[in-house]
Amino acid sequence: MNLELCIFTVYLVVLLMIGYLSSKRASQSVDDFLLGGRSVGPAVTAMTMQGTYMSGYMFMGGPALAYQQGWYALWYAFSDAGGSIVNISVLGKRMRRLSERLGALSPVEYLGKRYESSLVQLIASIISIVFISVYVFAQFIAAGKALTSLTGMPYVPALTVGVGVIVLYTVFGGYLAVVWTDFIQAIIMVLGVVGITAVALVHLGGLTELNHALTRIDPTYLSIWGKDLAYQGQWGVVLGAVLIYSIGYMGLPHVVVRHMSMQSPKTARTAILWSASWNQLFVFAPYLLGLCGIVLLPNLSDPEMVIPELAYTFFPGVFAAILLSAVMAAVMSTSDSLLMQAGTILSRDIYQRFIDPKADHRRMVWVSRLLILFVGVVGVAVAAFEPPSVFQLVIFGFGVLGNSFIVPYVASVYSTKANRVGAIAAMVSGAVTHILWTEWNFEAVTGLHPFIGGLVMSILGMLIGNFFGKVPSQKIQQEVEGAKKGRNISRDLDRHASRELAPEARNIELHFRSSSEVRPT
Amino acid sequence: MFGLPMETFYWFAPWPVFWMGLALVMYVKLKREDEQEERSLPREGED
Repeated sequence: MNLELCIFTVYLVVLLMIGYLSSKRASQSVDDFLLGGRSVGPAVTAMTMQGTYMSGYMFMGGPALAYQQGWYALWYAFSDAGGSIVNISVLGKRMRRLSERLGALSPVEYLGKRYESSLVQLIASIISIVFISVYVFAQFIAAGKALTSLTGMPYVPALTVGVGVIVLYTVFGGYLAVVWTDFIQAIIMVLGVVGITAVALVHLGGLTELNHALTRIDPTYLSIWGKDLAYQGQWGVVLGAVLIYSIGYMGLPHVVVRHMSMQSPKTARTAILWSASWNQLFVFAPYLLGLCGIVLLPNLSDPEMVIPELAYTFFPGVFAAILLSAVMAAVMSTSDSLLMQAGTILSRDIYQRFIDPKADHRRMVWVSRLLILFVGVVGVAVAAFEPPSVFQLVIFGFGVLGNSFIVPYVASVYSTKANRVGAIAAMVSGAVTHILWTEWNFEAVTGLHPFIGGLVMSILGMLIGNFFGKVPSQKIQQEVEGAKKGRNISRDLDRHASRELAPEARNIELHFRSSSEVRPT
Repeated sequence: MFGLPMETFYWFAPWPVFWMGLALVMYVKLKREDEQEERSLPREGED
């Protein structure tokens, strides 16, 4: 077994151990399985959010874009670097409070309860499941590609091994395993990629020398408008690139759920600093490696393999092992959250809401586990069938999710008047616009990124829909107002409400179950 | 700067500074809000 494989095997074993250790806690209640008992502190909240958000795209799609377009690709990096700050600042505290007030355990259930509508919940479930699946397929493809280059195994067995480990620890460990593995993976990602970027830049003689070398190949690589100035003057495309990652975070159910699992609303402020610092360290490095690839690997056939190829060609041994572990960390930390979220939506928002409303917590935990397994198996089957480009899949899935949910989530905590018709119109118009804009290539005609088209239509959908629907009930209006102001209870209860109330809720459930067992029928 | 054309440098260089500045501003703002809420909350044992 080569050194790279040894290091990577140790890493996989550690992840599986975290899954095993978390499995005990995960079985205690649905709240523990789906939200880790709302006990996640600021550093871990920030790291899991970043680990989840920075997917295989950052090691394959992003560097490939830099390899093809030069410095233009950095527009995506600069927006990415601030996404978490915008996300936590806008939604963090309020969504943490409101989700707890409404007793929502998933981001989709949250929308259903906030907008008092099963239809909102159903539409949100369908959009989430379809496009989370698209997103997860892209991650699985990235996992297969990375493991193939790491081990030399054929694509399908490599894919099965990589995804198998992710599915195993997610199924057994639940949300807490996902959060803690993400935390470790986020650290590996930043150490791996920053280390290799530093080595690559030293190898080339520094950033200035890299840019001089790029100029000698093609001066337009240094332009903000892309290679051959392909996007010159297209500010609509540039603005879309900036917006998709800086505000797109707020529409991703598997990222938004991190607000709901925070230890307390106060966790948000420290999480902002953690995630901002991590982002500035991490985000630019994969793109810079893509630029290094232009100089060091001029004849690369698959641009998405620029980082693995750089690792093996120029930095073999420990560096390659660390970098490829970082690639897998990015893929795994996103995939596990996507799987967890898909399982949560299918179990909580479809199964319990529409099929078996009386399911107890034990059944719910097992249904969630089976559904995560199911999504994982389907994902492997699809990823094995035909591997398309990671970049295209991620941008598409990400864009549709963002356009569907940003407006309903933001309106849910800032407007007491936002109602169910507005939410449905915003979700449907945002998703449909993004899909059609991409399918019919409106970007070429209008010079506007699909994300901008979808966002504008989603905002209009919410504004117009709010005129036609019923005003939310007094109770919901009070809850939204309450979430803005915080609550009037003691400090200790404010800090530990979920943890302190959870055992009581469990006892009440056990009491009712035992009563119904002895009661004569 | 760093061998980049001026246009590229001036469009790209300020972003990390801008984001870290925004993060600090938001931290201070949320901290103040939290402290205000803390002051208005009843202490343990108070009615």
